[in-house]
Amino acid sequence: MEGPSGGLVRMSGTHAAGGFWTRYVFSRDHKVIGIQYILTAMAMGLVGGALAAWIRVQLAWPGSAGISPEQYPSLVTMHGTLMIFFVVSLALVSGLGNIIIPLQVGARDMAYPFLNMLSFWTVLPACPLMLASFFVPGGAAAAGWTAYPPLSALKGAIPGSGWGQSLWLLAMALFIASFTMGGLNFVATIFNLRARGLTMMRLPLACWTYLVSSILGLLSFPALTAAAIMLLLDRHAGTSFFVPSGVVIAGQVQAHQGGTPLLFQHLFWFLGHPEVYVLVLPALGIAFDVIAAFSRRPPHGYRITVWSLIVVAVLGMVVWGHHMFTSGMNPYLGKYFSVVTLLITLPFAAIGVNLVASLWRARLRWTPAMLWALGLISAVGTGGLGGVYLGNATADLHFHDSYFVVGHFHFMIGMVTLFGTFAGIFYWFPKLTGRLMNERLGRLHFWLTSLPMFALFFLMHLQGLRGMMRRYYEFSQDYVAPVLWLQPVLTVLAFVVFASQALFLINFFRSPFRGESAGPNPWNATTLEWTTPSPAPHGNWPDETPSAWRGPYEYSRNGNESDFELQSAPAAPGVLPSKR
Amino acid sequence: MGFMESIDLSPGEESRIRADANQTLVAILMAMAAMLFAAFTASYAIRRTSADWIPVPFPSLLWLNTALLIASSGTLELARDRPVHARRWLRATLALGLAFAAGQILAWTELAAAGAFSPGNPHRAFFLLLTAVHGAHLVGAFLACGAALGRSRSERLGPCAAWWHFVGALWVYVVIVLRFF
Ligand code: HEM
Ligand SMILES: [Cu+2]
Repeated sequence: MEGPSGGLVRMSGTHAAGGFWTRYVFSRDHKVIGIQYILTAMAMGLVGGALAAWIRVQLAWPGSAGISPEQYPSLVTMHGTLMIFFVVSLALVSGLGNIIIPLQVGARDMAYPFLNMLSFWTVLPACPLMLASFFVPGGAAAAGWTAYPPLSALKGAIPGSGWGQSLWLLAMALFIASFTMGGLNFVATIFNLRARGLTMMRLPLACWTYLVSSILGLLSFPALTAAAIMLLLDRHAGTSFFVPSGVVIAGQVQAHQGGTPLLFQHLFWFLGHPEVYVLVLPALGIAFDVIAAFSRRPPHGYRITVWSLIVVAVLGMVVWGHHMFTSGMNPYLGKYFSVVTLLITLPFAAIGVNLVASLWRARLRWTPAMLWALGLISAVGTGGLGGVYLGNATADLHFHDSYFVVGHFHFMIGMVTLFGTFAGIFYWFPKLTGRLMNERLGRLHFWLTSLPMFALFFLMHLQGLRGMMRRYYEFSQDYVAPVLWLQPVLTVLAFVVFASQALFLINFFRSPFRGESAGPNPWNATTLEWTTPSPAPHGNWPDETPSAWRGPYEYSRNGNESDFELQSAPAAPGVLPSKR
Repeated sequence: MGFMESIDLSPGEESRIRADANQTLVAILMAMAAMLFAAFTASYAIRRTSADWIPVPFPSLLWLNTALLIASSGTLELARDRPVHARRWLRATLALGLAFAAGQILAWTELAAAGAFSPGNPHRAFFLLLTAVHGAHLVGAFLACGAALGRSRSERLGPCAAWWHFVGALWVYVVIVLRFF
């Protein structure tokens, strides 16, 4: 592609024509890489979903699914691992982040396109590695997605502790490397490649959430890296960082001594809790952008939202102990973790209130993207309420490791993140393909996914209150009898959810060819990505990249809903800051 | 092909923004490394309270190594100060860094020969762990400053120097932890 010559306009050679391979396979174009991530996540999502379905069959009709008690923990572990790291992280963060960020900041690509490509090709081999672990001796890792030692540290502890756990660690190492490269790129791009006039306070909220989420992820993953290195040494070099003295396996006292498994839990959750925000925050940012476009109003309280995001991130790094109330800790420490956990609800509530207030008295446009964003608000609210109960150390003694927790975290990292992903895909699809996704199919998909999901995970709370524990193969205790009849109901709901994903897949793969064509700005939205043709070309803008003359959400400026002003629309002279 | 092509720029702006982005990158990498070593330190602090903690003698070679690394930071600053002789001082820096690395490997093999990874001695395990992870960060410093040498662009030395000094400071920190705690 030849860019116009002269002045400030330089078109890169990076994305110049090139053959099929450099364009679509080893591409450095952030949009292609973003799509590659999303396709990868979809494939892994099918596996992760199938595992959930399989688990649910066992739970509803014990023994009929062909799962042995030894295999069950493997399935749960792999379902959780795949969903968190290989579905939601890849689709929502790496995938949509790649697509959105350069376009919204008005850059031709990421700050480091080669690193970006490398990041994708690092995580891709991790997928077959992770899946291969089902077929190795002993089967897949079974220590939970949290990989607690000693199950994860002693190769002979349970069948999945051998080969399966080794592959798990290897695949996770690749994932962490990839996610780190991606995060560095996001931050450098948002900090340093913003268009002229695009000050931080003119940044769309989606970009803000990706920025905060990336920094948070980059600063918390090192704790897991440290833990993983020590775990590897414990497994393969005979050290004993995490393995206590006197562990007996098959009648044999192990040589390891003096280590402490609690240390691993601390290191793991130092990442684990922030990781939830790494996933949830971008979903919230997408919801803000989508809701602004379809309520035709600026989101309520932009500045408060930005500051709340920052506070959430900072507090998010010091609350990890709330996952360990029952692991044993000094009661004063427990009190501390309770208090900061409850504190974090304040900035979250501010964000939630701003989301809801953005809707107040607006005339809504019920596109599928908007439906997902609204569903997201409801999931954040419900899931967040559950969190308030769990954050109380005393109450958590009862709730811990029960289906109350399973219900709670599926609301947050299951529903909120997926809803945000679907909202984002519907919303930015035309920018990538030049065509709209089918609205009717989209709405059907929304209702058939969101309602059963809501019921499914809400009812799990009730089972948890009755004492049903997570990661159990079968329930025969008297005290859970009153909620056992729910099991088949939940399984049927889960199957409705899975089946309805077919609607999404059809819509996603048909619309690039059959969809209604979209102009550059099908939603009459305001941010910079809507200033370029759809699909956005290699290099994002066919000629000059845009400048930002105003804030990101100039909707209904004079109370007139058809009024909106693109961020790039020049204002009166002198308004454009020369700063990037 | 970096991000130069990623945004429309006048040539002057271009190199300034490239430098800014590199600065961002290095700043975050430093924060990440700090978090990594904080995690190791916390583990160290917890693990050392157990009964099987037997401090290993601190190899005196490491004091020499420390001096070499500090000196290398000095020569790197000289390289930045004197653009005319930048390449010479940069070479001296890399040589000092290599000497440090060689010394580290020497001390490392000695410890490993003594059975460092035997289950019974967590302090020795931390010794090897921390020096090895620090070594991995040093490799990054070599790559960054080696690349700068290749291009002989002393104005590009900022991020590479920041990382080099950081790795030096990190080493001093590791020495303090291992020797005095
Ligand atoms: C309709 C979809 C889903 C269903 C029916 C489902 C079902 C389940 C069930 C029943 C369990 C608990 C099994 C047990 O403890 O015995 C579980 C665990 C889990 N799920 Fe899901 N899930 C779904 C989607 C997701 C999604 C989208 C995520 C996203 C991040 C996710 C993340 C997890 C995690 C992290 C665990 C815990 C794994 C562990 O205990 O190590 N799930 N899921
Ligand atoms: Cu948490």
